[in-house]
Amino acid sequence: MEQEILGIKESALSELGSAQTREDLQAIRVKYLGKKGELTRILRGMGGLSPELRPKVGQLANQVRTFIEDELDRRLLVILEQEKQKRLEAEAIDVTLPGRTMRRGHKHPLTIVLEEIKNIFTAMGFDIAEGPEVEWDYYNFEALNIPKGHPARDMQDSFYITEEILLRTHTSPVQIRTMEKTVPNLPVRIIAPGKVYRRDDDATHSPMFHQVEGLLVDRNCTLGDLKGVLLTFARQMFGEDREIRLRPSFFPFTEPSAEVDISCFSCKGEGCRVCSGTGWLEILGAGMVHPKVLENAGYNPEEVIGFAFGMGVERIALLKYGINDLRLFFENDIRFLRQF
Amino acid sequence: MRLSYKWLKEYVRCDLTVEELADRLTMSGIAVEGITPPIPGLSQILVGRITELVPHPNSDHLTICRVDTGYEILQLVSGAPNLAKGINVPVARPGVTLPGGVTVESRTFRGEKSEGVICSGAELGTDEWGYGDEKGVLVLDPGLAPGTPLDVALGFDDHILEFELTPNRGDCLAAINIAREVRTLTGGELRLPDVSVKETNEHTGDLIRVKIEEPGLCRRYAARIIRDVRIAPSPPWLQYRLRSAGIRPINNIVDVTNYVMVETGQPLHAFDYDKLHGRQIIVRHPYPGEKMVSLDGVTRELDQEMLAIADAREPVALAGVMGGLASEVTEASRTILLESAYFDPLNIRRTAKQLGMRTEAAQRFEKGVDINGVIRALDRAAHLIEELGAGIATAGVVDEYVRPEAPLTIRLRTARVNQVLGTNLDRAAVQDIMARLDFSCELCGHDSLLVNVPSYRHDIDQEIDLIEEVARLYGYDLIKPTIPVGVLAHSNSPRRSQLRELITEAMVGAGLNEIITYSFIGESSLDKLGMTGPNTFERLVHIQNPLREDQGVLRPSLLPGLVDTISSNYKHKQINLGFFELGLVFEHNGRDKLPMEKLRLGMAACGEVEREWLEPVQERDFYYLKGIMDGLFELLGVRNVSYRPWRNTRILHPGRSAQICVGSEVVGIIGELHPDVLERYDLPVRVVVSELDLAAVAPFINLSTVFQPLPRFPGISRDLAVVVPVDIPAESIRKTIVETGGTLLKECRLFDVYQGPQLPEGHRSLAYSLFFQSQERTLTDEEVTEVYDRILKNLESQYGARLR
Repeated sequence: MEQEILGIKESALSELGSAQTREDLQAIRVKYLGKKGELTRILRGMGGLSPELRPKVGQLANQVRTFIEDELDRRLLVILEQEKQKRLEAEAIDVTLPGRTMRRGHKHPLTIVLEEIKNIFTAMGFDIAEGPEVEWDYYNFEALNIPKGHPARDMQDSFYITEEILLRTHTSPVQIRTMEKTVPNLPVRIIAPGKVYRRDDDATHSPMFHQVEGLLVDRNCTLGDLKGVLLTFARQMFGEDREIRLRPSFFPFTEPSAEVDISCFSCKGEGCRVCSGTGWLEILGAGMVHPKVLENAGYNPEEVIGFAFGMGVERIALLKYGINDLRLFFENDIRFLRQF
Repeated sequence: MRLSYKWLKEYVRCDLTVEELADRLTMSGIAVEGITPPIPGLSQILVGRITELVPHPNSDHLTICRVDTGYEILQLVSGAPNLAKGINVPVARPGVTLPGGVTVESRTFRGEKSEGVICSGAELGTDEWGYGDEKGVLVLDPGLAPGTPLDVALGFDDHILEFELTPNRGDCLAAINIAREVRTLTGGELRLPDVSVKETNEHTGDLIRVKIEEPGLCRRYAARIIRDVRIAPSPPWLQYRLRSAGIRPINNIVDVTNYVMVETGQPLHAFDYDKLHGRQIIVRHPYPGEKMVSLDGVTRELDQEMLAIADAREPVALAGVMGGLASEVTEASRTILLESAYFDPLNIRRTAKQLGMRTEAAQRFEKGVDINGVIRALDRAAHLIEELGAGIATAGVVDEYVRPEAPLTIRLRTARVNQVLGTNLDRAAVQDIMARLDFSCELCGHDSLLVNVPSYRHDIDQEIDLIEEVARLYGYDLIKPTIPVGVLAHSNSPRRSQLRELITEAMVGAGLNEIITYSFIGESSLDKLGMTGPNTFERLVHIQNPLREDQGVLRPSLLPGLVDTISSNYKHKQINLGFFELGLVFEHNGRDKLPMEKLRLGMAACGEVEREWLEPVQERDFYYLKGIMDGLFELLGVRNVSYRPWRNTRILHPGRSAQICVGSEVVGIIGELHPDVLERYDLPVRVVVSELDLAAVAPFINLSTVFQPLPRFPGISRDLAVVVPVDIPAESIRKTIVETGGTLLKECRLFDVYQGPQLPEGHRSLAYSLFFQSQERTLTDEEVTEVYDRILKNLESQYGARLR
């Protein structure tokens, strides 16, 4: 009988070794340990054994039973692990397929540039100011020291609504409106972004475009301060190694006035196609606020002093993105807009 | 203003290269925009001497020339009539491109080889510059050595400087004043032109009387009479200089007036004295109905605001703009009257603009000429005429000077200079700059200068103008960049600007692309969109002088621009589109008021959302835009939003559009474009649009957030599906549910809408997921069931709903 029990152990062990699935294990469990299993059968047949043999055989049978149970458990773990591996393998996906997209739209490039400009100046303590796009001749011209008949009006051919009302030709009227609101307090420190309109339409002019005006009025401020602010702007906007150059110029509402160039970011000032070989890019106009303008806005030009600047947003966007045609900004072709 | 460098150097010594000079002038505010040779390519053409002439064996009009070019003897075949042994001619070798663009090749003429071309003045373009307008080849100075480049030979080895002057520097429309600028930069000595005049014994005053009837418009009028006039072409040097300044030579007298204008900035006019009636010049307004034929042959109606130069009978010139044909200087002229005057800039500007005659003279008068230079210019012209042997001046000048200009003295404070510029100059340095400008000055107090401003610098009339002179001559590049120092200030940035950024961010996040369209549109596009109504025209803001008809009015809505953008992109086969624009619209607000400007948000979309393999089809339909709109309202904290069906519209599909309301106020519209509109735009797809008036929404915006404690007790979910007649708006059902649900109902989400065969005709099923929760306790099933039943009961009684 002992031989038979050991035989059962041997055969169970060999069957366990070839078991591949949980079902195989279950079959082994039933075959050896089930109610009609081989080991159960032996234990039942122990009644026919002599009392001396009974405990010995019983002990052996129980040992074998425990052994088989342990082996079954061990084998189960192995098989579970194998099955998990198989399942994971079966679950593999093609990670190169495209993902579920977060489909954002695109800001207009002019908006992107405008926001960048605003961020640079607000960080320097400038406020945002706004004014109407349809303006009085007074704010657009007269108050800015451009009386009727002034040759400078030729520089800005205007769209008129009535004799006295026109589409603003620059953002400079916001200077006057802001100073009028602030006077006699100080400082005035604003930038005024917005649309402006001139009666011009060709490859390099659009009848509508965007400007950002800047104005600082305080007890003390100098042409050197203007240079410093613009240099900071140029470097933040176009790169840390930019330089600026001021060329004397003329605007009726500033004096001294300057055209401001930045060193070309494409060739680092050596001369290339972007800067037409000059090494410099003209990006804005600036100057010290003309005493008459301060006076028109209600300040005493002997007591306060200011600087102002204005830049074209399209011009900066053209340079920044290497866009070759101004008209693209207003054609709103989706294939253009998606690039930004 | 164009000026030859050689000519400029007549007045001031300058050793700089033309590029260096141009750069320094530009950096001091006199911008040089271009440097060009008078005629490009002349340096490639050489002086050749004809050493031998042989008749062509096979032609009776061609001649074979042997020409010494200094380097070699060439055989050249020419048909010119003026060939002669020993003369110097311009020779172009094969490979050389002539100014007209033709490249010379080696050619054979009837068996005889020609190794280049002997050029005529016309081929070289020098005929128009006073060299070689005769038939045949250009015959050059016999003293020239063969091999000399032609530009050197003719004195065309020059540079034409093109100035881009700012409007304040009208004084630099004069060669002498540009020379003064050069002198200021380089320190060279100024050589003023000779103005000495030999005069006859006859007194000018006996020959002409000048009367200024409009002293406000003509402060000075001076005249000279020239006798024994002999009209002839000007000598080449004079023609060359006029050409270099961009002026066409005419005859010696007219050329001298133009020459003096370019030289001094003072426009002159020459009349045929014998054609003037009554020996009189009267400066007056035209009489009603007066006309004049101008030099260009056009009959001009003169309005009474203009200023005329008249003789005893009629206008003979439009002051400062153009002369009259009747008194034109012609070959027959024997005596002429030279006019030099100061006219009011504004009046000249107005007349020139009105008649479209921005002549060289008008450009100078309207920027202001030097009132104290009037006589010098007149004398200079007389001097040159005599030098050319073209006539001789009578004794004296007739000079009506209404109100002599008082010399201008301005106080310039050194401290002020430094305060404006951020420099640290002392008075001596400032004085030095004034001296370089040739502005005489005297010391005043411990820090100031009294500066005498010469009358040609009429752009300078106050201290800041002098400070600008200091800045530009000290050099902008020497001014050190600094950062402004000042007190901090309250931020007054308008909320509108922040709102714009917030909305832009939200729209882009929702997948829409931003567009920027013109603020002006054509009225026809309003018709196209069905937006015109009884008062449309009056409420529009009309542009008086639009560039094009389709840009004639300021937009009253963003929709025209949006729909145009959809349409133009669709034509490019882009069929899945979603756009938004944030911009102002305009409304007439009374004649003497600025129009109303309102910030609006517009959206337009069509097709589907671009999708990848995994994603469900998402149509860009009404509910797409509505979802974006609702998302925006949530972001802005706007509550009480409702959508009212909008049936009375020609813009939108009457069954698929709504007015957007906040409370009881209509703040926008949303819907599909009306099929008629789509047809007019030739769009074969449905397009949804929306427009929101942000000014109307603004009062309802609430960006503040108040924290709610997290729930501590579990909640219970229930689904509710009811069958209701289709004409009951879903919003009504939702409202009843939410109102009945009271405080315990935390969420009510519609998750299914079904209409189909399993339901009675004209009915649909709406399925809601409800979530109940209390802040105070754990809810029991019974409590929730009670509320649930009440909701159902209310739906039954109000809408005949039944549980599905």
